[in-house]
Amino acid sequence: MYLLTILLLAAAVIQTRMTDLRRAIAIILVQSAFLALACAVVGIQSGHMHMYVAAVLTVVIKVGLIPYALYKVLPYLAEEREVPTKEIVKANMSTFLSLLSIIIAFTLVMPVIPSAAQHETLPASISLVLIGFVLIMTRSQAVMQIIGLITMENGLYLLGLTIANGLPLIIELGIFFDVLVAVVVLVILTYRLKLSFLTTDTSLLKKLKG
Amino acid sequence: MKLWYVSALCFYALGICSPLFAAKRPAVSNVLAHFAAVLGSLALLGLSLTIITGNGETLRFAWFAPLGDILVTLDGLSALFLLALGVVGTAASIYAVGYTKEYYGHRFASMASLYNAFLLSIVLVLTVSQVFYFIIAWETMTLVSFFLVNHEFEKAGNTKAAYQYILMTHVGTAFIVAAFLILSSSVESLDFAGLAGAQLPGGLRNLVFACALLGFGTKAGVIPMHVWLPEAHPAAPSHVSALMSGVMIKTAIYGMCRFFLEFLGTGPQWWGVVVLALAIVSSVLGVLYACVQHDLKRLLAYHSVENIGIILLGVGSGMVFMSRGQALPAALAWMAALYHVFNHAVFKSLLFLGAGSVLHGSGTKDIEHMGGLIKRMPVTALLFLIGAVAISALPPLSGFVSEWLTFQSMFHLPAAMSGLLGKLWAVILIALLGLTGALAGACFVKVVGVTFLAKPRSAGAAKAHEAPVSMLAGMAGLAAVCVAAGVCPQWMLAVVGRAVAGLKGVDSAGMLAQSDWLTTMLPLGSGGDSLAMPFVAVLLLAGCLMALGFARLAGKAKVVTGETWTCGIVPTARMEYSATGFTEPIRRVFKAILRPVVEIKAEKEPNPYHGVRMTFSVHITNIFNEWIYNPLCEGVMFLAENFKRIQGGSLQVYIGYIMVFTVIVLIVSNRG
Repeated sequence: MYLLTILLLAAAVIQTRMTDLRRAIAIILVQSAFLALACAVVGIQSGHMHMYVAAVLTVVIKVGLIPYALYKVLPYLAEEREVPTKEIVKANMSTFLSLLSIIIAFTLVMPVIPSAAQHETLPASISLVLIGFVLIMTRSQAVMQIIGLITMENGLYLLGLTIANGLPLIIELGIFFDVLVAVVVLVILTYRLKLSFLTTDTSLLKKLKG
Repeated sequence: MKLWYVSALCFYALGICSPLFAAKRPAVSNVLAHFAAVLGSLALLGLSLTIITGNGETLRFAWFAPLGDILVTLDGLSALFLLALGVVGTAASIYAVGYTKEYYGHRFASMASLYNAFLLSIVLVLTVSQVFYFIIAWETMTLVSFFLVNHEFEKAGNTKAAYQYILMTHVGTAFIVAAFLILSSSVESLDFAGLAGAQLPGGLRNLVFACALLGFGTKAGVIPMHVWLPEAHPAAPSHVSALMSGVMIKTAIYGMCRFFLEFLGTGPQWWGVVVLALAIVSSVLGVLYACVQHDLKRLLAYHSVENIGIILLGVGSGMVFMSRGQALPAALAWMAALYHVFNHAVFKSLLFLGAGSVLHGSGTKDIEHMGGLIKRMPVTALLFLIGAVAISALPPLSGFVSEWLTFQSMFHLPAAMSGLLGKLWAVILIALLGLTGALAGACFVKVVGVTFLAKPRSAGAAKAHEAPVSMLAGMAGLAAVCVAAGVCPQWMLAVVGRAVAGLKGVDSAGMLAQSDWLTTMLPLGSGGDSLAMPFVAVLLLAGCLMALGFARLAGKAKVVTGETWTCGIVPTARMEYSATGFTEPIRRVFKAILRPVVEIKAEKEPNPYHGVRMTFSVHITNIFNEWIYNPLCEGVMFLAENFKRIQGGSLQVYIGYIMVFTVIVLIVSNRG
């Protein structure tokens, strides 16, 4: 479980260095696969059958459907990478911010938890959420922001796994469906954005301000 | 009883759907919708009579209700308000058949449907006795009436009036919801029956009182929360104004009765004093503003503010008596208030319907452009006069009886108040109520005189035509009720007595024990507390007959030769007493409050000695807008402008806000 947590965090940190959208999607795919594994591990430890169902769902939706949809939209986008000149902050800076958020999460959360079984996983999940925030904040490409959202979602899911040994199946189903719909809608919006603005650079959305 | 209730609701529901059956033919859907509304209102009359003659009942509807069963309580208090709704609803629906013809082609179907929905929602407000469903019904009533106020959105100012209305009443609803939730969370029950036993600590109890007073006061149009009322009532079609002014604002009084009589019970004396203070401000200022209006419907709307004030004077006195443990005067005060509720519902609806037919006949709402209508529309004039006499509290009509009762109960107020200042205040209240009555009389002398007498002041008034039969029939019904409730008040007083019977702190059981068909005797101390309305009516009638007889005896009019008047020019309509001129003394006396701004413009003509056209206009400053609402608006706009700065338009910055907030929450939770 520790190993998986470390791998998840590592994937998220590497994500902040990516400028190529295709590779970024590959990494989110890998990250979600780690999450599915973590889910299965919790299932083995606790012996709940429905954790396996959740793991399978994670594989189907987060490893399968969502990256598939993102790959599908890529050919329509002219710029398949973050344009260096348009970057809000440099990749180094965003990596630094993500490391900072890991530190914040660990220093803030670690002392509060009474020595629970998943002592390190809880702060790790919170740092995943914060890294998701950083990703959305520091990137202007719409696809990268979707990836940031999925990272956050993975963090929240890990949180659920850690604290409650997984949520009731019906709630998990709800969350999966929610994420799927959100990403599909976002993909469609990205495509519309491309049609309207000829780019998926969300910093252009400033023009919509009232 | 259930049958009556369900059938009333079904008729209204049918009325809501009726425009669907004949979408293309407004004449058919007019008859269908308003016929359904008449039947529904008649069923309501049947329902309230059944409750009054029998016992109250609580109905329980369990179907598909997500927040507990729907409870419907049909007791004496509901019955009184339902009776008023039944009377006004029947008359207004009959009236609407003729009146709404001019709306054919102007979204007629939606208006007819919303009208039925409005009636339906009022019934629900008056009967549902479960907190959640009550609030849903309350909001439905607000929303439906919003659409009715905004029906003629083409006319300037109507949309603004509608939004002002919905904004004010939504703020009011927030207070009502707060009051209900504090109560229901303390007893852990959503049923009205459960709320009555709430044991709250003093501070929380005062908070509930303040919330209920503010919330329902906004809907009732109590000054200074009245600003929506004189805008919204003139904007709505007349039969809707009649319902809004006659019944809708009374639902707020109904809510206050529920709170102050049942849920909260007897409170400290200052509750009553606060209500009395609001009441007297509303009645005096309401009638003052009414006096200086020219728009007939706006004038009537200000009179609603005044009459709500008079009703609340009864309510406030009742609360003071309850706090002193004087059950008998308390019962009298509450009965006076509730009787005035019924009477005001009837005569104010009559006046609004009358204003509607004047508008229908002459095409203007401005009384300065009317005049001489008594010759063109005699029946309307007579019916309007009956309403005017009733609202001016002149015997023998209904307004007199309820104001007399209010006075009777207030005469006991100085004895009940504690401290010299309190006693003095009570005496001043009585004097101010007298002033209100006098000003109301002056105002209606102006309205009736300028509108119906003398010569027409405009082409529209000269070509005015009498209203169709259905409109006159609706008004005649209301006028008959006005007379009946004035000449034979015992029956209605018995109904009102039942409405407050059995409540803690109020003893209405022996109130009418000594009364018979002729006299109303109040068992409260000595002298001046009996009233024989039939006798008064007979006396008045005899006086009128004698006057007529003397006129006959004096013979025909004679031609008298005298000095030349107006330089020999034949008097024209422009020489008549105008409404502005008539109220000039009132404006002058109450200059400090009304703050009239006079503007006289003289147009320069080539010849300075002849034919100078002068225009005179006077504008009343609305101190409540100036002192309260305008600064409030500016403050809100100022805050909004400053908050706009954090809205940079950048997605990344927004996400940044969320992230910063998350970290702050983490830090805070860590420290806690």
